[in-house]
Amino acid sequence: MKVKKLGSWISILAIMGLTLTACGSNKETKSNDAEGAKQVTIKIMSVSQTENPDGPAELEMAERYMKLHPEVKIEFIGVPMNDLYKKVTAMATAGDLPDAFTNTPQFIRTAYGMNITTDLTKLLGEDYLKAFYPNILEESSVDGKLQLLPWTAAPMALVYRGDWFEAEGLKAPENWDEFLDAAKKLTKDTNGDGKADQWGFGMIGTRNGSGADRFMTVLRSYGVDELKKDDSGKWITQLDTPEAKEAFQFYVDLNNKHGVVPPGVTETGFPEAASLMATGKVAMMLTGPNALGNIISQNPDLKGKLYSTPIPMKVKHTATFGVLGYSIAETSQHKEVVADYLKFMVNPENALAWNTVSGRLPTTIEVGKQQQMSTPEYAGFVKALEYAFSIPAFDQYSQFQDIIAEAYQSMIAGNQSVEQATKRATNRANEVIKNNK
Amino acid sequence: MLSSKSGFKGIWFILPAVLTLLVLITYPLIYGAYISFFDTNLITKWNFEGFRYYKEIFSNTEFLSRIILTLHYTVWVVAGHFVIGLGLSLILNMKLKGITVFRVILILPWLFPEVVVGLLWKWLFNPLYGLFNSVLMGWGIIDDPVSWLGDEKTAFVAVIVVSIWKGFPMVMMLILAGLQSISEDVYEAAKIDGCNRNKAFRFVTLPALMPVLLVTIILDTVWWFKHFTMIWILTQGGPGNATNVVSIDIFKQAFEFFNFGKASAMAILVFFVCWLMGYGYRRLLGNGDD
Repeated sequence: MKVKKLGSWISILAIMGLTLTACGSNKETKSNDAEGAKQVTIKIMSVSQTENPDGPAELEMAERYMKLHPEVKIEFIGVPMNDLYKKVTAMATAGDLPDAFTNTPQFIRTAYGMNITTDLTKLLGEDYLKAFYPNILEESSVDGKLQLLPWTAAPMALVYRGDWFEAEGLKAPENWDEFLDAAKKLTKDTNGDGKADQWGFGMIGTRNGSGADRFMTVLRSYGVDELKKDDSGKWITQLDTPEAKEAFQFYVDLNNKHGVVPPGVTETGFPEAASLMATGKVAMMLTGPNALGNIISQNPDLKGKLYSTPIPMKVKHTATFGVLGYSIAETSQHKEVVADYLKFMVNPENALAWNTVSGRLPTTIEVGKQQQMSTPEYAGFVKALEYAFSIPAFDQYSQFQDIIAEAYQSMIAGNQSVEQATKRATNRANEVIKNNK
Repeated sequence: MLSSKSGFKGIWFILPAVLTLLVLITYPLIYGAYISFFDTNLITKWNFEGFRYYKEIFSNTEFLSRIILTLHYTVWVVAGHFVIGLGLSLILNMKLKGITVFRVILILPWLFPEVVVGLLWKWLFNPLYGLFNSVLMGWGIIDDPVSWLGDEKTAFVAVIVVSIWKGFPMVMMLILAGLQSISEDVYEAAKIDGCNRNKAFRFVTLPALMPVLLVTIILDTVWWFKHFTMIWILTQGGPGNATNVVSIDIFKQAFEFFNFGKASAMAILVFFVCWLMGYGYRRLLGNGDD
């Protein structure tokens, strides 16, 4: 019996030994690859990997880099944009962050507070960063330290069906009255069954950052700041002003009163709205240039038919920068290698190729001057960059997205009056401001 | 009486279970309670706040209204599970030809992952391409497509319907197992005593099922009170606050607003609500011994 037991133990140990030897030899083979150079694996958490056509295009770019640098292996971890901040937080808490991760100006202050991002100003050098638009660099920095390398900008603008507008003799809307007029004209019954099957505006009304950021640009076009510092440096909200109420009412009326929006607006997120545009159901949507790549990949016939123009104004045009880039984790053991790959991503050739595929705008000054940026598809986005506003440097800013989205949803789906909705929004906003330390 | 040697051996037998419980249940619970006293990002910031978040939660009616909404949701879902689950389990307990096939089919909703169920029903409810609108318009019941998940009145009902569909098989199977453990002899004895079918159900089946029903109702209530996944996929708590149950509020506090301390305080309070519900059920339906 004892002999049998001993035999079992010896067998287990032998198997374990063999397994470890196999692993060790595998590692050795790897490190001996590439003409004896040490193999470095970098892990990158990317939102592009979950999107089309961005994912395959990013993979292809990484493969080109790996061909040029056989000693580097790039592995991607895909994460949807809506889950990015949660995933980064969870991985940071567990001490398991990848070498680099997608980041946005909305999250950089939180990430900076967690001390999980490398100061890229120091790592990349100020000379190298001179090639970028200064306002985009500012948007991507906290306390003068660059938190993410801005890969693309996706300023919010109005994308519209240029061919439909021309057929109706409409001009790109300069203000909200013209916008409403165009939306009404383009809401139609195309198959003659007595019901509208084409709508003027593909409104994104979900209760998340995607929906809220869009309405925020409308709000700002009415001259309203959801959050700003007053002359004494104190944070205040203007959500209870008559201008704010007017903006909310106008936006909600597009659905509730004018009927220029397809049914189910509170369920319509970006993917749904882009699909509606791709299938010829809507004529306009507020979005970044990334929608162009998405829509055209769904319906290539729309190439050349989608135009862009800055967001219509009440008192001014506005836009968000929509900056997206990569942060290098403070814990990364391969910061220099990651930085080199990020530089490769934003070089002029790759930036233009990326713009062609994804529609997102480049972030360097020289590339921004290229011819392909002045086509009707992109001209509105490039122009919109002039009107872009910076996100308030407020730690709890994400709460304002929820506050605003709750307000318009309550008005759309719950028939709340604008007074009720903005009163609750203002109370919540003041509570957040009060609790901010 | 156990000798000290065999008592020592006994500790070794229970040690794996004790360690597992300590690591997987006790530690997270205590850590969650610990976090609730801090303003923290879980990495670099640990500012002690004492009972600030608890005071904040109790100082306005927001949290209470979420709890009431969640209770409202739970009551409807659990009632739906029990009505459908009990009815179907009684049918499945009959000796009918091919009943095994129905048992397999009826358990299918429970086997689908919650994410799949959420997406599936979201498509069914879609106002432009969804099956429900298409069928109802085809039958002439509605003239225009309805945004089931986009209206405060219908969204709450829609979420309850999906939750009932997803959860009834578990109740059905547990009750079926309970039914099958009741001896035929008891029914025969009841029949001899003059019981008809209804009386046998009332005086034999229900009392014999009571231990199973008690466990099932506690499990089902607590499970659906904490439910998150499908509601998040279907409505994200909207439109407005129509389906903003407490689990969604906690999730948002933690992972959208990064208020981990407040989220933990809310979770601790939910834990006590769940514990109270379990205690209440045992007092109401149990035999009083526990």
